[in-house]
Amino acid sequence: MKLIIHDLTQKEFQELFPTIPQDIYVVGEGGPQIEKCVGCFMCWTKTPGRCVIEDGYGCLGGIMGQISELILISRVVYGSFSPFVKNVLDRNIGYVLPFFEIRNHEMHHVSRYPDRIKLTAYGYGAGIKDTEKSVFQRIVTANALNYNASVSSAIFLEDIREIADRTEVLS
Amino acid sequence: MIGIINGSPKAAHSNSGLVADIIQGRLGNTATTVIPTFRWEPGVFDVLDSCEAIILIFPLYVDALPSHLLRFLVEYETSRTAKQSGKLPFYAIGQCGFYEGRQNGLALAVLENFCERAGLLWNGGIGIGGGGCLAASNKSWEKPVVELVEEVVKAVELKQFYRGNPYTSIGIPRLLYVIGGNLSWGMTAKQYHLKRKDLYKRNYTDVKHT
Repeated sequence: MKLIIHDLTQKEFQELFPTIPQDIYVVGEGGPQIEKCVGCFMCWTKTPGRCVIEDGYGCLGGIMGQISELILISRVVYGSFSPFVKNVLDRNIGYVLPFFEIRNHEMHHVSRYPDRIKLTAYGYGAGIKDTEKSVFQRIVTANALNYNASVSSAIFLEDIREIADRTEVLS
Repeated sequence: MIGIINGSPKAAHSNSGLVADIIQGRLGNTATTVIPTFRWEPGVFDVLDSCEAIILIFPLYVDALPSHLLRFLVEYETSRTAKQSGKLPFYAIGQCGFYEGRQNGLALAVLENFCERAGLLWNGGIGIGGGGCLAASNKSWEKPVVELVEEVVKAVELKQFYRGNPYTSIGIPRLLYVIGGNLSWGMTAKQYHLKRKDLYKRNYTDVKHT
């Protein structure tokens, strides 16, 4: 099972991927409005693993606990994910536990779920600068460390339509 | 006037707000204006463009900037591009719940890229670790943080690039911070009638559709 988080409209996504296998869960920007994370940490202390804001975007930690791969499809914004994709990630920190441990000589959160995921990020956009690509790659690596992912990769696309040729996305 | 952007999504009681207080204490309330980002009006960008320099203070979210702040910056870039606003010195101070201040480094790199796109002058930044203890108001714990923030303020006053040490942590040993942090989560859970072991719950979401 995979989870795809993307910032395309529903129409754009359907044109790129007309048929989605049953075991792939997709969250995109074309849905209801997403609320921002306000740093209340209740996803750790009140409703463990799930955000208290009921807009449909805060329950993905419980899906990430069941998938083999998390795929992020995002416009590259200053080397970061786009605001929507980042918003979804911010709202689902309940995927990990609040408790701390030292990993790679740095403080990180303890995993909540036993299985380790693969993290793949497709960063797209015309004219992404080399400095932005470098930061994007390093963020994906850092995210993988914080998620305790088994492996991660960042792939750049000058035009989002190129992703339709990437058969591994839905395989 | 120095524009201080509070990059916290919280309306009040934020650690970024505490850092803003340190800066205002050094520069004075009349020489600074604090711009919140938990919500904003379009006119706020004109206020920023009228400043001599900008300092952004932000919390680290998932290794980078919080999403609402990214939206703010994208709108600010759009505004600056449309108005062809002049270059302003831009400084940044990140603070995170992890002990190591260097974990803010990627978010600072994102801001350097933002400055390039928005026509602002990136003048450096710092990262503070152990932000979870800033609200404790313990002078000894705050000392390394206050000292580094004051170094940045000096660079702001001179409109110079900040070339000093980029990272610091709260003034307690890391082991103590980790143990204290891990204990605090269990104590907070009690407010919600949960036990420490309840926090480990695997809250699997029932996937009914694709």
